[in-house]
Formats: sequence, C-alpha cells, structure tokens
Amino acid sequence: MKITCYYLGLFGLILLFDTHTTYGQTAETTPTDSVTISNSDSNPNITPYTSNRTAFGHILAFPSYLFEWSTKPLEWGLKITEKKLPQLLQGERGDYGVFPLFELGGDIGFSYGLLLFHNRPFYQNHSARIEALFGSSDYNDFDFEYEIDRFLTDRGQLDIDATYSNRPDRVFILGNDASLDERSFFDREDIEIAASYRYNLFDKSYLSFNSDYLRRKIIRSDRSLEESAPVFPEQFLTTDALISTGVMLELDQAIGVPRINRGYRLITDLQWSRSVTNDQYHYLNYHAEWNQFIPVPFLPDDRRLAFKGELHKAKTLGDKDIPFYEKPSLGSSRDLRGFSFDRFRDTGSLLFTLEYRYPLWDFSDVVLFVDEGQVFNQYSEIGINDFNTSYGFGFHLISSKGFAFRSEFAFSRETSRFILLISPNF
Amino acid sequence: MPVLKTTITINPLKTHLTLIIGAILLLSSCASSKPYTTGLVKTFDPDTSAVEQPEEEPSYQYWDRIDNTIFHQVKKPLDLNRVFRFAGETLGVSGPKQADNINLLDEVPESSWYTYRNYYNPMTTRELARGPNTVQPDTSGHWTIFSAKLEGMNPGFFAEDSRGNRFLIKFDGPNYPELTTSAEVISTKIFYAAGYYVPESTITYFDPEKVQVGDGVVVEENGEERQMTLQDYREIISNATRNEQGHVRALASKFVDGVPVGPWNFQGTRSDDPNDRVDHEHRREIRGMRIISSWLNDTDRRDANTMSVYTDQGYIRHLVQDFGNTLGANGASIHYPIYGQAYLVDPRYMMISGLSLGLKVHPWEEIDADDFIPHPSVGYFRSETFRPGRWVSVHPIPAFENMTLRDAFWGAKQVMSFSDDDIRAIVETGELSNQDAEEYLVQTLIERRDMIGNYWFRKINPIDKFNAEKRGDRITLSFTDLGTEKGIFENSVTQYYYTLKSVDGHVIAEDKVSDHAEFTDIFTGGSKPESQVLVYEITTRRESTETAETKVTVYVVTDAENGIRIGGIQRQE
Repeated sequence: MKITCYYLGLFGLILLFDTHTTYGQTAETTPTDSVTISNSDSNPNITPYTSNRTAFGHILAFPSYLFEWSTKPLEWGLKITEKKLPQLLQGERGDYGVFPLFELGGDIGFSYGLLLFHNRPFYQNHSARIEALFGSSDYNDFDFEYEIDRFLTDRGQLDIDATYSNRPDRVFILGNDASLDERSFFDREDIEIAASYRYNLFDKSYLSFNSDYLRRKIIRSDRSLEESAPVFPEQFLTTDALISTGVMLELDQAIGVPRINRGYRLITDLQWSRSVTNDQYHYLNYHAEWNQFIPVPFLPDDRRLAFKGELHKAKTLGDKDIPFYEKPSLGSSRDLRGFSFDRFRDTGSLLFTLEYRYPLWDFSDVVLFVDEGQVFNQYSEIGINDFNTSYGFGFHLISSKGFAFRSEFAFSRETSRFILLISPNF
Repeated sequence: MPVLKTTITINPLKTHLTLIIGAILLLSSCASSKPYTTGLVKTFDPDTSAVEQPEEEPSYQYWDRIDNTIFHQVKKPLDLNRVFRFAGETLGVSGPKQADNINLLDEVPESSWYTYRNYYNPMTTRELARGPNTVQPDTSGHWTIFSAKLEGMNPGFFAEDSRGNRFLIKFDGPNYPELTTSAEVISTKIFYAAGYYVPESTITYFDPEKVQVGDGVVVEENGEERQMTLQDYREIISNATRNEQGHVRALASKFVDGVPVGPWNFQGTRSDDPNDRVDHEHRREIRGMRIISSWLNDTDRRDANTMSVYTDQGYIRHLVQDFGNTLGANGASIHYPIYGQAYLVDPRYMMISGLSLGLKVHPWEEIDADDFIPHPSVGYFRSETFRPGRWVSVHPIPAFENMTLRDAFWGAKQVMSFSDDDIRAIVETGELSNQDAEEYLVQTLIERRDMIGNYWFRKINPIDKFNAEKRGDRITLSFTDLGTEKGIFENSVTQYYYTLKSVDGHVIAEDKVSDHAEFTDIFTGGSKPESQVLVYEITTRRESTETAETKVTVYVVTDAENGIRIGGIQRQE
C-alpha cells in the first residue's frame, strides 16, 4: 500500500514537471507490455533532436548554475586580456612597461602600487626598475634599481639601489631563552643607498664587492600598548646612520634544471660597518652558508634531499657597539619558519635545515622540512639541547627555468605560520 | 497443491533510498519512448535548415582550458542531477546519461556534424587516400601571400595559387622534418573517413622562388604591425624541409567553402544557431571522438581546434581541424611521454604523488622521449605505453568525460573499421621520405587500433550490423561479431546465446546456442502473424577469454507491407 502511494505520487510529479519529451532517447527505456503496430508514414528525419532538461532538472542544477555565473567575470576578464593584451598571457614582456603591484599579507594585510621597468633605458646593457608600494602611513616602500651589465669587463655587473621604506611592528627580543612575553615592538623608517659590483668567476660562481649607506630611525610602536607587551627600551629609540662595505663569494655548483637535485652551493660574506654620525657603532658581520643537494637513492633524481647549514655572527670592533637590528636573528620565511618573525636574536645564529623535495606534478613540488636553529652570544654557548625546532610542509611551483613560487605551512611549539613567497628558501 | 515459498529480504533503508533517487532521476530526466520503431528509423537529424548568418565568434586559447580543468570540475558535484545519477548508478537504479542524439539502432544520424563513411559504407583505399581533398595547390604558377604569422611556435602564411584557390601553408619544425605536416595530413584523413567534417589537407612541395608577397600584407612583430617583406617570407621558410630539387615541403590546408564563424565548443550549444539543439557534451559523435583521438594521440583537441562554417546553403557545418598535435607530433616538436597518459593538471595522479611521498613513480616519469624516437619524422608515437581505457587529452573535455561504454563502443568500431591496407594507404599520403619511418607509423597505428578493439570489445558485446531475413515461417537474424571479424577474438572459442521472444514477452526460443553469427528460427506464434515485433536477447561468450557478457537486445519488425527489418537495438553496458 505504501509503495503504491509512492508510485502514485511519482506519477503525479512526473505529470507536473515533465513537460516535454526528446525524440529517440533510448537510455533508460524498457519494453512496453503491449504494442500497437503502427504502419507509420511519419518521417522521423524531419524531427530534430534536442537536449532538454525538465524544470525539476534545472532546480537540481541550480547550484552549478550559480557557480558558473560566479566565474563569468573571470571568463570575460581573461578573454578581454587575451584579445587586448595578449603578451601578458604569453609571458612576453616588452622592453619597457608598467605593471600593477599587489601585496597580500605581509605587515599590514594589503598594499598596492606600481612597477615601472625599462630594459634598455640608455644602452642595450642597462636596465632600470622602479617599484612603489603603498600600504598605510606606517607602511610604504619605494625602490629604484639600476643595473649595468658587462660593466668594466664582460663578466662584471654593477647594481645601484636606492630605497625608502617604513615598516610597522618589528619585534625586539633577545636571547635564545627569551620568552614571547618579553617581546616588544617598534616601527622603523629607512633610507638606503647601495652599490655592488659582481664579478663572474666561472660558471655560476661570483665575487661581489658592495658598499652601503643606511639611515634608520627606530620608533616606538603602539602595538606594545595594545598587547600589553613590555615597553620598547628607550635607549634604542635612535636615528642611526651607518656605512658598510664588504665582500661576498658565491660558489654555485648546484645542478639540475628546473629542479636542483645534486651538487652544492657555498656563500660566504664579510661586512665591515660603522656609524657615521657618532662613534657608537663599529662592528663586523660574517656569514657562511652551505647548501647540499642529494638525490634519494633508488628513486628518480627529482626526489631529492636539500640541506642547508648557516652561521651568522656579528662582532664588535674595539669597545664599540652593534645596533640591535644588525644582530643576527632567527624566525623568518627562510629559517625557523614555524616561529614568529625575529623570534630569536643575539650576536650569533646557527641554523640547519633539511628538506625532502619531491614532485607533486610537472610544475609543482611537495616539500617536507625541518629547521633547527639557535642564537648565541659566544660560540661556547652553542648546545645540542638549545636548538629550536620548526617543521612543516609546502608546495613549490616550478617554472621551466626553476623555482617560481612557494607556499608553506610551518609549525613550532609556539605558533604556526603560512608562508607565500616568490623567493626560494635555498 | 505444491506451494512455492520464497523469502525476500528487504533492506528498508536501501529501498527508501532507491525510491527517492529513482523519483529524482525520473523527475530530472526527460521521458523515454519505446526501444524500437515499427516505422522508419531516424537516419538524419535535420539541423541543416537555413538560418541567418551569425556573427563570427572569436577563438580563445586559454579560457576553455582553465574552465574545463578547474571550474568545470568544481561545477560537476554542484549539479545535483549528476550527483543523483551517480548515486543511482551506484545503487543500480539507473545507468549513465546517454547521448542525446542516438537513434533506436544506437547510432548517430547524419547531421551538420557527421556523415556515414568508412564503417557504414566501406571506402576504397583510393577514397581513403584522397580523403576530403578536391583540389591540390597549383605549384606550377606563382603563389601570392595575402596574410602571415611571423611569431609563435608555428610561423606560416596564407597564400593564393594561380588558380585562385586559397591555402593555409604550414611547415615542419626544424628538428623534426616531415613530422608535423605528415601528422596533419594522416590524421585529417582518418577523421574524415571516420565521418567528421575536416578541411582539405595535402603535402605540397613548392618552388620557393615562385612566391610573392601581396600588396598591403601586414605582420606583427614585437607587438607592432608593419608591412610584410620578402625577407619575412624567407625567414619563415628558412628552416623548412626541402627536397632534392630545393622545393619546400609544406602542409597546404585549403580554405573551406563558406564563411568561418568561429570555433564550436565541447559543451553547450551555440545560442545564435537555431539548428544547434543538442548539447555538444551529449553528442554521440563528439563523446565517441575520444576513442578516435586516443588512437591518434590527438592530445590537443579543444575548442580552438574546431571550426564552424556558415555554408552556402545557409546552415552552420561543424568541422574538426588542427591535427598538428597528433601521432608523434606536438606542433613543431614531439609529444611528451605524459601526453595521452594524464591531463596537464591531473588531480588524480597528483594526489597519488603527494600522498605516496614521491615513492610512486608514474610510468611517464621514467621515460626520456628522445630514447624512443626511431625516426625524427615520426616523433614520439608508441603503442607500448598506450592504455586505451585511460587515454586523456591534455585538458579535460566535457564531452569526452561524458563518454559512456556505448559511446566508446561506437568510437571503437569506427577505429576498427580501418584495415591494415586502409591504414597503409592513408599513411602513404603523409609522404614520409624514409620507408622505415613510414612502416613504423603504419605498424604503430595497427597496434594501437588492435589495442583499442581488444580493450573496448571486451567491455561490451561487440556484435553489430544486424540483418533479418524471412523465408516462409523461417526468420534468420545475422550479424557481425566485430571482435572475431577483426581477429581480436577467435571464432573457435566464441558462442552466441540467445532467447527469442515476442514483444509481449511470450518466449519462442530460450537459451539457444549458436557457433555462428546467425540464428534461424521457425516462428509461428503471435497474435498478429502479418505484423510482429520479435525480440532477440543475445549474449556472447568466449571460452577462456575475459569479456563482459553483456546483452544486446535486437527488435526485429516484420509486417506485410514493409517486410522484415531491424526496428531497434539496445546494448547493455
């Protein structure tokens, strides 16, 4: 009885909704119980086929219609771009141009600006670019870069860079054992002019000389008040002018395009710096980084291990001091990734990173990583039990030339972080 | 009186679920008619009525690829018709959504999309070799370039010969002489013989000195337009293949008759064409094209590689074109090993790669294409790695995704209709100068063809081409077993089981067996001897061979006025 009711109900609904038929559909047909032989003169070839959907069918499909409509602006945008600005989609850039810039996340969440570039402003081997990024009164970035290729010799390159930037909410914290409760916040405003000369020794190996002028103003941040954090120390609220000069050696013997899967990379640099407006600061910074790439045995070469060891040390000269912001720190997108920004700071830092990289697809890698790092004042303070651990996983986009983009999820005992960057870790 | 006692176990939850899903499917789909006709079977879909000439639709290179790869995949589970149909299939309540343009014989009627050719009316090797071609470019006189493309992967030009015929002229890539041009010609002719409309394509060798640049030809270089020069023309042909006489080898694709009005899409219909009534993703000939494309490794099949033409008769004809990414060719270069094996973005394999921590090595990852190129002129085209059931184009195509087993069978029988000699005749028109290369291509096509038959003809009962005859009270139903006809299965292990019924269910002959593709029965029953519908339910069994024993139901109609004929065919999936 109950089933009979179902069928009666169904029959009624079918009459209600199903308002048309389609000629010749045989998909779900079953032989009828009785047949009338019609010696039909009607010609089936005059009735066209039609795809139809009942009213009820449209109701069931409505969520998909909504979704399709929501993609229409993207469709129109892409099609207009293809017709009006085809070179944008073909990855071709002319000799000069303007691009919009957008930054999501970062210090204030959203900022926007413009990139202007010219690949031969005066001579074939010159190039220039200007980047302007506006966020808020606390966050702006203007950068002018001028590059002269084949400068002095065919192997030389001169770069001149001038920057104005202000950024909010930098973190001040010292020591390997300092707790998060001890951190306080500051803002900063920089003017920087730098020049470097890079000489190609062989293959992908370079020797660089650089000099730099930096004027930095440290400002107390309101965030300390908002978060009831310790007040930023008064003695560090200064405006400093520093000059530095240094030398860097890069030996790049890493092999594999677009995926580096063997070989090594060695980077060392030494910087001498001092203050120019007073006699407060005089120090050396030295840094050594070793990257090693090893394919995993018994698997294709694109399953590989990548190792990084990095030492950074600042050393005072005479009885002078080192600005706190020039002391090495850990806690960024390229070292202890699971910790907050500049979480650990002292005159020295030591970091080890191990990554297992394997292809998710032709254009993408999965990366599993673990970072171990600590900061110290004296080498004798380095202890096996003092390492801080962060770990995580990520996805790297690979272009035909190599690394293009990374998104990583990093975790630590204190916090977790999502990283989205166009620069590689190593 | 003996009593038959049967215990039926009913799962109430499943019963309710089945009823609900069944109801939804009934409501969401259109009504069905009976599975046979006593009248004429539809052989033509009248979509050729004169309509107003539509505006030309621009051809886009990116959107359909992005849409089909990402948004279409998200949209599928949001369409509850699809979801309930999937649930219905899982519960055994319903089958997959079948094509909308199939007649009662499970065939595609002719239309502006398709016409019956080699499978239905076997073509001679000469006809196959000629393909769609009606004229050759005249190389005795001068050609005049009237349009050109300097940049991009495949520079080329449009030229008019001395007889006034216009052609698109394309060349091989510098490292793979004869590869792209031969692939274009061979695949064009195979598609033509399979029933599709295609442009005329031929290999030509022209004297490079007998080409001139027409007045006012504009080319684009570095985003700027300028007049084309003779030097531009020389640049275009600088890397082209030449024969001993110094003549340049090219593909000449003749301008189609009528007015091009843009590409057609692999889903939906064209809103400004009143004749276009069947959703393209539900057209049998487009769904089944997947099998033909798999044979040729036609990986770049997409909207931009199709063409709609407004004919002189005032309707839109639908062409398939651009076969430069078939066989071993990938435009001017060679196919990558992954092509045909997985989509360019394939979440199925990506998930496996990700979760296996890289321990899963996909077959294409281990292949260096350069190790498997026997001759530059055939590129990367293999049968060893071909998996007919898993073949995909570079980007998802909605019509291909919708392909059912019945669509696949239709496509497979088109492929299997090409004999070895047919294939050889067509491949010869690619004019490969190296005989070994030509033979390699022929053999690879034969092997891939047989793999298609071997795979799909196991999935469904591959009997077709039914014919009924009546002599007195004897009725003979004969048919072709495509599996044995093409040597996929052996005759000696094959038997055909059938039950013959009247349409009202009266069993005339039950569980009969025949070693031959022919049944003869004496028929005396039925209420109206002068006009009957007989129902044959046929299953094919092959000893020691793993095949799906699916049923084909054939409706034979007989009456005094029109004699005996096949009134309907149903294939069980």
